[in-house]
Amino acid sequence: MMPIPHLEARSAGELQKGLVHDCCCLERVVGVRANAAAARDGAQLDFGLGVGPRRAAAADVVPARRPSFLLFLNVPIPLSLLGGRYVVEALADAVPAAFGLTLTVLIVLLGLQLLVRRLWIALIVFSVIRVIITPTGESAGYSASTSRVP
Amino acid sequence: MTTIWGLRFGLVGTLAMWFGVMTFANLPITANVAVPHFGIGLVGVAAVAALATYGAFTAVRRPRAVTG
Repeated sequence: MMPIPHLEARSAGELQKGLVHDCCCLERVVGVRANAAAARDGAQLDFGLGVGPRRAAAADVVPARRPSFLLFLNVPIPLSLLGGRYVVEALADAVPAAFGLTLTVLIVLLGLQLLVRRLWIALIVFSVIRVIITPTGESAGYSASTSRVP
Repeated sequence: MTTIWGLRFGLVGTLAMWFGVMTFANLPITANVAVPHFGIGLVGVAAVAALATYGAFTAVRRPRAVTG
């Protein structure tokens, strides 16, 4: 299994070294996957990066974005592991993200209900859309337990 | 799940749910007290707990009498 030094760090210095190490690893992982995706369908890389530590590490080296349906009210990925003002930033980041998600979900759901006229059909179609646009495979590839350095 | 939550608890409940989800996703929350980022994760847990406490007290508060 790929080591995650910053998760095993016992001091601030070890934490910083671990973050740098993870940045290097993720740069290689993300770079390879981005090239593969671009070669396959010409699409821009778009993925989710699991929980905080992984997202924080990746944000320094790649323009990691949230899924495209969150571009509305999108803000930079917070680097909460660095502490201090970055923690406040992470908390503040949750507010516009929550607004964006709620508005997007409700607009899509209400639009579907207008189209199909039945709520239960709209729910089914909505679930299918969510499954399609959620990069489940990419997200699983970047989880702490399954990541591999190519 | 989001949709069901929104239909059952309304707009404010959905907003609160997404705030909790995004907070838990943004902060490195851990139960291991020995790691240096334990306190950072605790901030996120405290923020969501504070919001939940405020919501609970607001929900059971006696409504104001409408005058005029």
